[in-house]
Amino acid sequence: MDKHSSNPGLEHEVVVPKEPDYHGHPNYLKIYLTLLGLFALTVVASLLHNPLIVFFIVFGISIIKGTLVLLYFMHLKWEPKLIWIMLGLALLILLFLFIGTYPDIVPVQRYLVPKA
Amino acid sequence: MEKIKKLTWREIPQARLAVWTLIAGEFVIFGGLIVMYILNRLKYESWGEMAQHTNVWAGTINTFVLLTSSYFVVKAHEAAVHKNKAQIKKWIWLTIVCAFMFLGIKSYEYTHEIMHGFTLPGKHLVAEGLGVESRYWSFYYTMTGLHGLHVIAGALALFFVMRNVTKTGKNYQRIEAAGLYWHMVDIIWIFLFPLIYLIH
Repeated sequence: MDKHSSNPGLEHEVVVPKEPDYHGHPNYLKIYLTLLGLFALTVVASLLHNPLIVFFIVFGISIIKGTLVLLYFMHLKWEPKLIWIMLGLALLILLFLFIGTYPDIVPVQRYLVPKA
Repeated sequence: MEKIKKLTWREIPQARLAVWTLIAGEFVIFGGLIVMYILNRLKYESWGEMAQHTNVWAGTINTFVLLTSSYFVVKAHEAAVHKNKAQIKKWIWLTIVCAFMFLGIKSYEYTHEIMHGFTLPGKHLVAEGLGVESRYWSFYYTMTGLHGLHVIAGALALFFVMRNVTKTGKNYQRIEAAGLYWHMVDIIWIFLFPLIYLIH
């Protein structure tokens, strides 16, 4: 049980039971502002001229932003290992997809047989 | 400071477990498309030229809208913990407004692009001998279109859950479950936006 004001119009505090699996609420505004800051950084970084550098910077920032949403907005930080394993497996499948199809799609010179 | 007990896998509510399973599946679907897009983008430099035809301003505004909607959803979840129906209604409606804004901006973008001949089959580009370039637009419409359908599904889920919770005064945990789905929609866009719009 915890004390919360369930109605901002009332001056007295009302005791409200917590949900059984309560996992706490981080400072959402702080995380939201951090996300907006990173978003602004993404847009600024995209103004660089080298596409490969832009790719690594903006994709890196996207990974940080996605992780922040997962950990704090989706409360993954407080979820059991089972959820982590499930998401980890999904990412592993994507990694296999990338590694497995990379040589077929992107030309890799060392795989080419030199012409006689 | 309050110490928060971590749940075991047996204690996690079924609704949340179900949504997390769905999210893992969605990550594979969208992740697969993103992986293929990256590989093709590495192969075809001309895709960068095609990306210049997208409306960066519209994409930027839409990213801001989705990030803001994610904040509204966590506020709705916080209100659900306190069983505050008025606050739940307020935050969910704000999220739904964001969903409409996102779809409206996306429709404007689609109209603009289609009018310039950048369509899903890309017949106009193929006729000009730009078959490779037309594939960029196939990816563009598939990824953003599928994402748009998820925005619609997420907004509908939030609406029906909100209506049920505010009418019955029960099932407050459903707000979090529907919210999880909405955050997933946001995460996908976080990756789509720079890949499609910013890397030229």
